[in-house]
Amino acid sequence: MEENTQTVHAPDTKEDDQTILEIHDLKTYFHLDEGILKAVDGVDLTIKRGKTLGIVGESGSGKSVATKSILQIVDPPGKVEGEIKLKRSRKGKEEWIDIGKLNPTGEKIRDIRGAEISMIFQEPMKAFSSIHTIGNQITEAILIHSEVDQEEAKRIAIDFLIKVGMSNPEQRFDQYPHELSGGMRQRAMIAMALCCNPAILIADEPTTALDVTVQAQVLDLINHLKETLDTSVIFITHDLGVIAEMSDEVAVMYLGKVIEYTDVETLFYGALHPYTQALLKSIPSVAHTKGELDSIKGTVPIPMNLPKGCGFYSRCKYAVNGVCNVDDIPFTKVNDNHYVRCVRLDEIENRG
Amino acid sequence: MSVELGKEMEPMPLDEMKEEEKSVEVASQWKLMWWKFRKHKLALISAPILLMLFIIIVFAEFLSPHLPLERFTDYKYAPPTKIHFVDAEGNFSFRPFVYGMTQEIDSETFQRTFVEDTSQKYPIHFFVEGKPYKMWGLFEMKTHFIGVKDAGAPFFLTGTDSLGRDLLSRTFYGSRISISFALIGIVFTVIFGLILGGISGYFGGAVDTVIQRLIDLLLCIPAIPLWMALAAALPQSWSPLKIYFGMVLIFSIVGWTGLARVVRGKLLSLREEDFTMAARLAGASNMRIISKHLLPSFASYIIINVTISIPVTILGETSLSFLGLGLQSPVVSWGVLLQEAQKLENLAHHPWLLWPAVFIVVTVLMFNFIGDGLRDAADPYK
Amino acid sequence: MQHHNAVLEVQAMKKYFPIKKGFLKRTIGQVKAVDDVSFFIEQGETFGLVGESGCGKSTLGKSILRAIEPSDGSITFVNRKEEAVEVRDLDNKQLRDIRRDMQLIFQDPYSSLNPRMTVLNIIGEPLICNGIAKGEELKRRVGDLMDLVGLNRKHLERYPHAFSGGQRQRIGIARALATDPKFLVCDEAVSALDVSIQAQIINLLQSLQQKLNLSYLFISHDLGVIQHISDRVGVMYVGKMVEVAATDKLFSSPKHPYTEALLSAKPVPIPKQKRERIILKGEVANPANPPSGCYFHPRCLYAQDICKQQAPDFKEIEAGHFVACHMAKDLDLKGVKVQ
Repeated sequence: MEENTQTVHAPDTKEDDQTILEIHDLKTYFHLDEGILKAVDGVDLTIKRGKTLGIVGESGSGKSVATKSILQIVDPPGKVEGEIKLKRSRKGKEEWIDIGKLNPTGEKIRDIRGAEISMIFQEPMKAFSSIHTIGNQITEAILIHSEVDQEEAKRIAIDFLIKVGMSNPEQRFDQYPHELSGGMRQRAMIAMALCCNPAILIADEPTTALDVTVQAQVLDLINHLKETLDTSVIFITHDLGVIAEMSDEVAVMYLGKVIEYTDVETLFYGALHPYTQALLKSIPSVAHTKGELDSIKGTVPIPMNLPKGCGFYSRCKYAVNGVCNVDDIPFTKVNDNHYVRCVRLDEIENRG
Repeated sequence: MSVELGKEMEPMPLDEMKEEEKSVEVASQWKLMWWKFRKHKLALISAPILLMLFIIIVFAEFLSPHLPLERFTDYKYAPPTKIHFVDAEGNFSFRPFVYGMTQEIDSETFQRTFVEDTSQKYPIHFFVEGKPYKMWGLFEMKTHFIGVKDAGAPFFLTGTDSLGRDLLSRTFYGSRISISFALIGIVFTVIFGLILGGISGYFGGAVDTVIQRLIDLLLCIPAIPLWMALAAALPQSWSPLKIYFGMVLIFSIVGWTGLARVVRGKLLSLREEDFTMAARLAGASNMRIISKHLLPSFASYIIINVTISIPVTILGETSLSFLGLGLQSPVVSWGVLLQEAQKLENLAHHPWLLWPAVFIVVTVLMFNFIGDGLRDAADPYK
Repeated sequence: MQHHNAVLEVQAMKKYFPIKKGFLKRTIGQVKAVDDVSFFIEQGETFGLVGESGCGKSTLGKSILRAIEPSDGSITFVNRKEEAVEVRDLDNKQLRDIRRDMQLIFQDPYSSLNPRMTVLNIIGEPLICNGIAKGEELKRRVGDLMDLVGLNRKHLERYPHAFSGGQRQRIGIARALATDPKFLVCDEAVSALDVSIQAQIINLLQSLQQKLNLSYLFISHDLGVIQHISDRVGVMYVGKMVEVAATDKLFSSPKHPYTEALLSAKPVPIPKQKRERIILKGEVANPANPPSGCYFHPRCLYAQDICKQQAPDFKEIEAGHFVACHMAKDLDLKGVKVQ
């Protein structure tokens, strides 16, 4: 693939120059023996400076693959298509670059990974090599992406270990990942992700493996750092409680598509898509009765050889034969900041 | 990725499904393994080739044109006989034939060469009557699969050795010895490996420590010198059959360690699986847990391990026999046959002496390919 | 039995795992996974057990069934003949018999089903092993169990790989119900499932409880699930039970600082709710090397000198409300609003 160095035109968001990442029609397909697995199938997302976009969905919804596609780190045989426009400042000038057009193994994209956009994972041991100290690995990351010397890099690294609330940062600097507890490892990974001052931090279920009390610490830390460093966050989780806590805006994903996109308040108080509504009602702690929970019948199908129409058709209680299963469902604008992928919106709104 | 998504598949009611889909839902471990194995093309090609080899082994007497010890004194170091369809006059015949051969001595170099004698024509027939032999040591038979009707005619498809014995026949008989050697060796290896690995993994504790240290000890001695030392310890006075079984035991004693480790490791991890605990809570006895849960779970790993060990044993036997420490003539094995090819001078003038090596290379490759395919298919639930 | 309506009573249960080191495997210490825990479960109730990873809640659950051999204490269980039996005194044959009355549902719907067996053999295993049914009778009974848990009985001959996570968990539940038990230990039975599937399984467990008059020990780290399903709740921290109370009581007015912190730490699906969140310092103590006195004191906001020196007793401070805290009566702790 040829390295595409040319910058692209800014997207049509005249009124809103806070947008720093705009994803349009992102598709990630896995060509398997059994057929084409459409893990991500036409996703549009906008990330604004200093805001958190929460992506919520069940396993198999494609939420994790979608964010991996942004950095072009999808496992083979995954193929990424679509526009991923990133605004970055180079030499005081702002320019737009389409990550989707870069060679996934090229130098350009490696320049973006870790520097402009960095990522934290559910399992910190995946991010760290077990044979180097935490300090070495963070310093290494700094040295790759900025022009500082070893001394300075170490200073920055320790500075970040302090920022993420590590006790005895000087001592932790020389420790190996396995010597740290789960929560401390997570903090070290956050330090490494943030040490190059990225514009966007992608957090892929960073607290799922943690205990509640430690999760509270880490969520608090991410929110605090986001505010002090002015970083945008893409936060992926299956936990609606965490979404409520962290997000400014939320995208609900189902079967590789965003089915509802709105601000966090509207999501919890005025969700329109039947799937979002059902999902909210199935959480035990917000269910109002002690009795039966509203569960969604059936399971998420595999996104392969799907029938036409709405992916939620087989499980939806509002589904109508001949209406929902005929054509692809358009992403309808309800108001300025609320989009829903459902054709029976009017009926549902009236009923709700 | 695909696996994670695959988990969420909802089975449709049986009656709504097509036949082939239905079979996936009810496919056993072995069926799933076969489907995965099928995707490994090299392994799939190897299987029929190995099957041919096994046919040769089973019917070696019948398929060989000659007897392994039969000497053609006129044809020492005869090169592979050429098969003709067109004779010297340019006449074409559907039945292939060979010409007779006469020896000539170069007056300057005193080298003996064979030239075709176009005056003698021997047509090739299937199912010809030849030297009598005992099929499987039981039935007196005279029919050979292929050959020429004239008993003295030169029909040596891969040439002859220093004593004028047909190399192809000897290689066929040799395959029987070499492969059966490996197979019997594997049987012993599996017995040792299963018992010792099983004890080590199931009981643990001090027994485990002792067995593991023993394995460590065996593994740190280089294999070939250990084989050589043990082989040299076999009494010279033993009959070839005794030597044969002695060698088999030597290989098993050295070779069980790898399998024992696999068995122990698998047992240790399976013992911790939730489904083993579930079986125990369901009231299953130790015997039932071992036979219904543990053994089926690692049977596939044993099969792979065995498939991979076969070529190792074949090569080991060949090396030892080649060095003169293993099987000895008159027993014919691939290693024994290759002894002839030890001298460089011999090889330079009679390259066909390497034919047994071709058999070895092909066999080992085929086993390795199949091993690869099985390894891919070993755990269809991953 | 002190509690006449109890199906199970655990007293002073301990499970210590030895830490072995070196070539000779000498014991150099002990992990006190479960340390002096007592509680009871009444007939037909759901007792929720909540705690963070490593607190010993799973070990406790499995020790009751003697799937893990407890080190000390007493487990009294009322079997189907309404006889109180000391589970720790049973020999292998009696143990097999009592396990017809008490069963376990596992967390992981993947590793808990042998992938090489058909559903018929998985669900039917307890029936086969106990000599209860075979042949056509086995098929009929397994089919009935599949109906009971919401699976299609036509799928008898299928293997686990043909089922989704939620359906596999239903298979696990059917297996546990095969011998018609009266008490089930649900060890994180819904933790591995997606939210929408989790709701299905919780509903199933609740309806089964009513239909079959089951008692549950429901182990989970998810406070939301615990709150929804439990009648009474026990909170564990580093091998010890720190608080036991009726669910509403525990959630609305906790008496142990750890319970308060747990409740406060749980993210609630209510956006931008400004709560006074208690963020604990540090992490869960290491059960191999716990702190002195009260194990929670290094993280506790209200710790006093006495907490460092002396381990608190597990006392009943109100009817049915047990707490292990020196300060229990003096503190005014915040709970969460109960809907």
